Amino acid sequence: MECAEIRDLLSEYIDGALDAQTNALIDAHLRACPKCSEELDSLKTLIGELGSVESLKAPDDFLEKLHERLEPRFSFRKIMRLLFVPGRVKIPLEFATATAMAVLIFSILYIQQPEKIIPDVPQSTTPVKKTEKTSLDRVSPSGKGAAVKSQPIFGKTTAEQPAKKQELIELTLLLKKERSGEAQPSRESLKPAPARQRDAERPRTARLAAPKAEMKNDVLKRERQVRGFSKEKRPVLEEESRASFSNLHEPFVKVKELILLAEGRTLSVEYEPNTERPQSIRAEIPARNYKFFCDKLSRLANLQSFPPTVSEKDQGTIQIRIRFKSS
Amino acid sequence: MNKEIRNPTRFSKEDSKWVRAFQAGDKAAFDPLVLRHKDRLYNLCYWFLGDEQEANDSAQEVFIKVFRSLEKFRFESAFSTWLYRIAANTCKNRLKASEFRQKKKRVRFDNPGKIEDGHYTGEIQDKTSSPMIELEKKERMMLIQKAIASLPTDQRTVVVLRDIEGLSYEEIANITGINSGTVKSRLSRARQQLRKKLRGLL
Repeated sequence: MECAEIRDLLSEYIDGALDAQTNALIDAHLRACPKCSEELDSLKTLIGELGSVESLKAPDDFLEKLHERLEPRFSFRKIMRLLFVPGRVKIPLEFATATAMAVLIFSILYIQQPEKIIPDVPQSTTPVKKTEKTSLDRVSPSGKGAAVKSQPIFGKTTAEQPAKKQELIELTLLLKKERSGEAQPSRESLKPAPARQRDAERPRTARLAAPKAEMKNDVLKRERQVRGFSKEKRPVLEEESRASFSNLHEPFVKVKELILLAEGRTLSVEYEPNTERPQSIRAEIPARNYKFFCDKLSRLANLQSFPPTVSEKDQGTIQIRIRFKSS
Repeated sequence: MNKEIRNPTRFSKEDSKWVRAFQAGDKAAFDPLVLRHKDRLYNLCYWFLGDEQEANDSAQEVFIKVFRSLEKFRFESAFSTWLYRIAANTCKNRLKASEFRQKKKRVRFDNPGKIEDGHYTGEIQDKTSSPMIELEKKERMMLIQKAIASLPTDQRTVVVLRDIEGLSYEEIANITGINSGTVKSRLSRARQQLRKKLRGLL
């Protein structure tokens, strides 16, 4: 065999892929031919070199990229992966935790609080006037027997109230007897007012001076005048009558004004069964205006006891009952 | 080297299990197949094409083809043989593409000391070597890669499958679809070419 033929077979000779006879021929040639032996060594080195090259690794995101190419765009799995598997932009765990904590604290401190504080202020302005109307309308034609002790004015709102845990603060306003009488003549629309006043005081004095029959007639007459049942007073408008009735109870009106001023609302009014005078007012005011309300109330008249302090953060609204007590 | 490929029987059994699961409807069984073969396939594509990005794209393309045709796989050959056949054809088509030919760079191997346009940056698994040895390894690898890239496609396929991937003549014949005699002669010519090109290195 010539060298060229031998060299063509050297590749298979190295791999051991030749039959025994050809193998023996090559062995014999290599012993005699240094050039072919040199080529054999060179080929062996080459094969060794090729076999020892380092294997390359596929990129880490190979499978992920493959999934992206295999799955249709915007498939459910892809969206879920985008949402829950960390993407290319790595967010440090510490940063993520700190952000989550900050959001949590913010939501506890600032988001929940306004729910307590915000009262339905816009509702309180107009409906309270309505309150006055409804409560008095009910009282005036009904007479003594039908005097309502505690009339819920906001039916719906009071029904909602029990859900809230609110303590009732009792305040007693000490009124001087003369004060209510003095205030009456200052108003123009107070024509029946003296009658009302006399109605309150006259029976006592009349009992002492005048005969019984005269006294009885006098009292009845004056009562009719007050209630608008007398013939002379019948044409008097309801508004006028109501106004006069309210003005008879100046502290009551002022307290109601104060409630409005403090952005609160009147819940119910309790009347004295015999005289139909307001005995107490139950109101709801925002906690933040409680201090202001108490301050104004104490200027209006003396309070029997010092009003209790209320934390503004604890409660959104406060329920107060103001009792009127003559001193 | 790839000892698992050199021992195809055990490798084939494991693959068959996942292939059958996939064919039974468990599409998730494709993932283990990818994970088992992705590195070897990527390596094969790299040695075929001589470019990392091209290798990655080709390997992805191969797996997509496999995914779409795995239902039809009838176990007439080992899964790895079938996979490598798809890879060889995919890489050949890539090499034929005009765009890829334009990107090809010519390097002279007569003087290995003067390396032009060297851009090998592949990740090497062995990280225990010192920087000098690492650099030398990279240089040798780059030279070998360039030498292989300069071979005709047929010779390149055979030498990569045999000397880089360590497959038998029979397996190479199955993958390439040529007979064993042709495999041997092509391999012999490829080795002689490489010996000449890498004389300075050897």
